[in-house]
Amino acid sequence: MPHAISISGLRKHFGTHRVLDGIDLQVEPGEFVSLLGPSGCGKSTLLRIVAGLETQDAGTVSIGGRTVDTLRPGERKVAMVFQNYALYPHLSVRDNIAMPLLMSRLSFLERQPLVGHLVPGRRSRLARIDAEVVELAQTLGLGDLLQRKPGQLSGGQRQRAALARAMVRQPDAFLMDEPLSNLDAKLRLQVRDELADLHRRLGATFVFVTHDQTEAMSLSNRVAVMQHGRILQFGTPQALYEQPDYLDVARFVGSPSINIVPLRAQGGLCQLAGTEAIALAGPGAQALMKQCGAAAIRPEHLLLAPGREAFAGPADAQVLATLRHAEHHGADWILQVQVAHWPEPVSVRVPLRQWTRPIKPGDAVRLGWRWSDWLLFDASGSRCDAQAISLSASTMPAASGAASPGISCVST
Amino acid sequence: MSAVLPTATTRSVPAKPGARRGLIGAARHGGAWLAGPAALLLVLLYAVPIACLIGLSLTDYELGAVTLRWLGLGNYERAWADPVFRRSIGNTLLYVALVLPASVLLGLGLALLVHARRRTRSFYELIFFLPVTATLIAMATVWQFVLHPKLGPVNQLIRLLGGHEIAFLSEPFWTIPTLALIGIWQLVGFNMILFLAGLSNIPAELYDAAAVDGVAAPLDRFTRITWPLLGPTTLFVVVTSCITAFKVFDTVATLTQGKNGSEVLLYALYLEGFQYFKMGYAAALTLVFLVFILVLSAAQVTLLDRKLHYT
Repeated sequence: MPHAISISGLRKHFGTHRVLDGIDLQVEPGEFVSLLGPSGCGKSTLLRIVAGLETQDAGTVSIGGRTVDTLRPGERKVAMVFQNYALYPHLSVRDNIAMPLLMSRLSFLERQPLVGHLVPGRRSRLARIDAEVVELAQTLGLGDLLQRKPGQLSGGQRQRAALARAMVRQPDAFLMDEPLSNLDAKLRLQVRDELADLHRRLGATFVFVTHDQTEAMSLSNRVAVMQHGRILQFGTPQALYEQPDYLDVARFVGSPSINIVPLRAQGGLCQLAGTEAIALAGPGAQALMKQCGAAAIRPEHLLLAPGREAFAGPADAQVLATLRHAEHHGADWILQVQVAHWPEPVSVRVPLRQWTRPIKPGDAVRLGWRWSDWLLFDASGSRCDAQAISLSASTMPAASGAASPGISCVST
Repeated sequence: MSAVLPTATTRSVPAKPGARRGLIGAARHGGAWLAGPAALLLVLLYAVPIACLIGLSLTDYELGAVTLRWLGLGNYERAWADPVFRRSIGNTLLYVALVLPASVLLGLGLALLVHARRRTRSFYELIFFLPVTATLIAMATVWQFVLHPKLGPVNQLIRLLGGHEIAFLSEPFWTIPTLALIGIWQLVGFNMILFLAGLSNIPAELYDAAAVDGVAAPLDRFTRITWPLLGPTTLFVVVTSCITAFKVFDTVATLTQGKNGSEVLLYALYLEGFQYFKMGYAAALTLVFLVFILVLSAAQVTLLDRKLHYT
């Protein structure tokens, strides 16, 4: 039976350093939620507070409707998987997995080395624990490794032993602190699939801490992007990718990362450096016109053609650019293209099949886009719902349908 | 492609038996040269002196004597029959039996207490380590005063509580336990430092994992995590403490001079060799001492090592 985790108003200081600055998070029962952020953003501390390994300065955590703030980690019915697995090096895989059960099912007296043997019924309880351990180990493919010590296991096997130790108690929620970061690239993909599979099978609530956006995006139902002890945005991977609330979220999500071009004010209109003036329309457009933050576009939304001539296609605007660098990424090319007056080269994702003519760094190319694909951010980095609209005559017909009310808004 | 070629050629080398023997032969020579200096030092500094010792122990050599007579095992027979030597062995074993468990357990207990301190930790480390650095002969005079039957504060306290004064250093019943107490006092700080080093080597993440697994009570944490992971440290501490305890000498020499039932192995050896100049007999006693230490250390290592986990 999966449980919800709700976190409200969580704060934590380490000395004068503010690690968590008012965290509110509602994890639904059975949901897979990732906490994503750069190192030092407080994601691990948040997870450790939920596990009970740290105490918060303010705020509450409840699991399955039960406030757990005063409970010890072992009483919270959560399991945790650590970055370095934290398997007990002196115990066999069997004893490692059995540890949570020994602690919860044997009395204090029964757990003690010599006197424990005198308690009646201990032997049968131990036998039942062992049977459960063996059964679980077999489902995870650890059946032949039960007698091994953690030091004799490979990285992937250790990972699975750590998972088994977490699963054996049938916890209300699984907390995972960067569990994949110690695995090599190939194994990481494999274990990632296993984790997704495990989540489907168990239907349990998972909270997964990672700094790897690919892991977070591919595994999670929802992702909380964290920075400086706050949650910037909490949403589905698709929402984070397509409608990032902040420039920092847009930058953190997606690979290669989003292209950012500063937006400049110019006589009541806006402009991307070196390109035609554009109007802004929709909610927040007027405020944005005054502040002019930045515009961002995903690499796959940029269109590219070799040569200097304008190309036919769905582009609203085209500029001349120079190819800097080309990377082969399997199905796609990632091209680095420099547009004059833009501060940095932009990345363009082009499907391999579309790109038959050979080009080399230094060649002139034409770069195009649809204005509706640009995301607009104000000077503070928050996204505006405003839309960019081309003013040039050639593309007016394509954009006019959606944009005409916006133009009137701008002209006032 | 080019990377494949050298592999292919090196693989073909073992196919020719002559070349292979040449290669290993060269390695063997090189190895001998590399190990040579260390082996030579080992022989000169350890093997030769021990061989001399064994040789001496079979004679009646006295320091300054011009002639010496072959006694065979005579010295050992004499030692076996010597009531003083027998008593010194008994006393030494009693001393070790008192010092070893107390210094190891107290050292461990102190380390556990001090390890939990944050700001005051270095202060306590210093306090408990001081006896290790202090010269024991100097400290012995302090102990002599402290334990003095008339002047010492300990006996003043005993009198205050209505007891009879105890001559700690001259009543045969008390001498060895008193010397053992001083030995413990001196050894505990050193063992504490060793255990502290062992404790710092246990990853904090393990205690986190244990907390999540429900290992909450301090006793559980100790028996399930701390104690097993301190195994290698404990083995080291036990062996070194045992050897140190066996070598008890300076407190005996300064405080009791082996009188009043305080003969110990090293002091008996010192008397025979350097007071009575009976080098042959002293060599035999030294060998007995060496065998004792060797057997005890080997037993501890083989018994404990099997149960230990090394990370």
